[in-house]
Amino acid sequence: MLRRFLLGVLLLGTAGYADEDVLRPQGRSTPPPQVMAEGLVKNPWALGVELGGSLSFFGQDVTQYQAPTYQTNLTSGSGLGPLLNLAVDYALTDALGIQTRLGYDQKHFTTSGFLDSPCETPPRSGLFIPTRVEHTTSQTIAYWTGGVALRYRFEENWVVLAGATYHSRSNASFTETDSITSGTCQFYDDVGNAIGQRRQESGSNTSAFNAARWSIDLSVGYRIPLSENIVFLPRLAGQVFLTPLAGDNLSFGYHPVLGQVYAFTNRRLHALQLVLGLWFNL
Amino acid sequence: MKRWILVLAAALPIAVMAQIQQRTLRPTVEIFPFEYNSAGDDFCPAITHNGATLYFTSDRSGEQRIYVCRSRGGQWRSPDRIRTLGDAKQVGCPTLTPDGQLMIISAYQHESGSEGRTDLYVSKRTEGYWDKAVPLGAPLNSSAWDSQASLSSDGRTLYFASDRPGGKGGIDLYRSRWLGGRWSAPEPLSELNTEFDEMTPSIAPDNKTLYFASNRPGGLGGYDIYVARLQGTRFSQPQNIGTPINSSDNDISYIALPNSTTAYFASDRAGGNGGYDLYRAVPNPEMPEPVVTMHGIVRNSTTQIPVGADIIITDLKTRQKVATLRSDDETGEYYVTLTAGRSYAVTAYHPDYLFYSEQIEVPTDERGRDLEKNIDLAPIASESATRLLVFFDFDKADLKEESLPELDLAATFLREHPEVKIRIEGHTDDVGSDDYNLQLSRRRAEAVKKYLVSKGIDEKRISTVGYGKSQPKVKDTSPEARAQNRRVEMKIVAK
Repeated sequence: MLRRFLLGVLLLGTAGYADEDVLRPQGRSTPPPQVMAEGLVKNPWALGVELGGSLSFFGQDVTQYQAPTYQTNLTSGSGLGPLLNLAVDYALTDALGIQTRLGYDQKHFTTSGFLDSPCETPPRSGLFIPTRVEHTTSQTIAYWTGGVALRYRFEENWVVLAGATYHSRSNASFTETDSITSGTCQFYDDVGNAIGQRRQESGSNTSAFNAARWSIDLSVGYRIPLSENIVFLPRLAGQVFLTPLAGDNLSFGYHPVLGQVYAFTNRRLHALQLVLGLWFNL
Repeated sequence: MKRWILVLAAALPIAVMAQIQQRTLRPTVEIFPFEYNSAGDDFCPAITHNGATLYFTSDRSGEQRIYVCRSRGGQWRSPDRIRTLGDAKQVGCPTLTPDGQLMIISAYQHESGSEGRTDLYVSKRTEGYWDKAVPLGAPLNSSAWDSQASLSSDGRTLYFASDRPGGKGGIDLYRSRWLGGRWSAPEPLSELNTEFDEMTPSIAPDNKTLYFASNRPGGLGGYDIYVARLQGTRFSQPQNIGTPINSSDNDISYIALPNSTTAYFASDRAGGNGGYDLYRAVPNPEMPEPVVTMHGIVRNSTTQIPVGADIIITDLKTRQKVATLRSDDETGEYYVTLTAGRSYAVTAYHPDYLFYSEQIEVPTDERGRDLEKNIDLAPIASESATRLLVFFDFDKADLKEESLPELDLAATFLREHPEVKIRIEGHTDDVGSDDYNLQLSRRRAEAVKKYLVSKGIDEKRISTVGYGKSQPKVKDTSPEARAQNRRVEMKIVAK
């Protein structure tokens, strides 16, 4: 039984070179030599250095249990952050290859909107005046990344990549800015001194975000050979994250009088990336 | 008997001397391996652009595919695989028009379908890329194995190899001609075919010298390269091209470069990289006749941006189109081989431009030379003008018959651009009185208008004017200058 199976496998292997070709009507009598596939540049192995930007799209569902609903302006935001990759491509066949990539990827987004905020005037008086505030949150989350992708080359210079990337959170920082746009209310510092109608707060909030995230990446690029050994490959990538950006936050936005509670759930961030790569023969 | 011995005794030294002389006269041929040979088969070389671009077939990736190398500073750059011809199990053996804008290939199990087994396919170059190949269909293709085409430099005759029934056995050589807008039924080259294999035909740029490979008895072993020359409609007795090109192994795919001592071929002889390898042979021991080559760039006359235009070369004597080609969409470059001792009309046409025509004289003593002719196409706009290639008898205003293809082109242009109004401007040289030349130029312009109106063009769209000798193109009295000044121009006056 085993012998018959092995014979079958052997015949299957030889069938390829018994077929006719453009040189021989009866096909070649010996198997073609084992040859190396042509890679992204020329050789099967290629090293790539990629620089680019991630256009991040942040979103979350905001549920508010008590009025007013001023935090709903935080439902979405977007922003651009830099990325840097070091990648290796190995050609499995002339068309198909596999790529691995290590990189640094900074996701950045800004949410902005107007909200009605109670303003305690004068401070510590217990008297609150509703006032219109423009609230902006600028958030940056940096990741170390590692990914693997299948690469398909077609029509000479077009390249499609499909793969997955692991994101390991490095650090995160935020800047919040509030500007009072109506009324005479001012912001006060901790000791009760008026600081004007604009206040800004910055800091690190690394632990607020998930430490590990997975994304599915799909990109399309175009090869532009620059020389015998160097190829310029710009590509546009879509990055869909399978892991939420952060866990749910169920107690944000405490109101000093009403004590209302917000729930921030389904906190997500996906991205579009424009990547400019230089690939070198290895 | 004694008489025969005497005859033999006299003939023997003559024969020996002839052999010695032949060996002495035959140049020492050197062969050099191609620097990008692979461990697989590398074969079927094809050259375009006067030797600046080399195509070949290789199975270095595991399947037969076509690769292209470009020459830079006398060195071949590393080959690139052509990936746009469509999916097939095997693709190879390209033959190209001299300008490199059209390619006929062989393919097995091509996605565009086939008549059966390996067939011939054609692809055009568009904006720098090769289109997906389409089958050439019957009668060129058959249910048998049809492969290894070679297109004559005028694009009108196709040689190929096939094992179809009707030959002498094995693989045979066939020829088909472009007649009446289609390929004729292939005819076997019975004067070259044998019961053994004949394959990898290659017609040289002179369209007379044919190289092919055969494993017929009498060679050096395996397949050898043979050469035969067209005499009338039949080829001469094929001659073995000899060593060092032929060897005891298989030697195939011989091509000659135009006006060059270089030839390329493939061989699986020992010492190569494996399988068939490409070799360069210098000098080519069986040179084809020299030809005239012409090249240039088609450009926008205003911006100088290259234009991909259709170019038609017509033999003015026989009024036959001898070449139909296209300049490269990206570079505007074109390249064509011509027969010396003829007069040609070169016409360039692009829908967005005023067409351009010029008469080119190629004297016999130009043989072996490369002529440069750049073509500037005027955009379709007011005041754009083109010289019409029209001919009149001396001192007469009757159109000669060789003018008609040009005027038919002008009529086609006017039909395709109904918004355009033109003025036909007649000019003469400086021989004769002012008044006489003025009248003659007017009558010639009117003759052109009359023909265009007879072709259905509204006469209101055409005005005429005769300038006599008042607006010479070249201020000189030489015969060449006078020839340039005797002209009829078509100028756009409204669009």
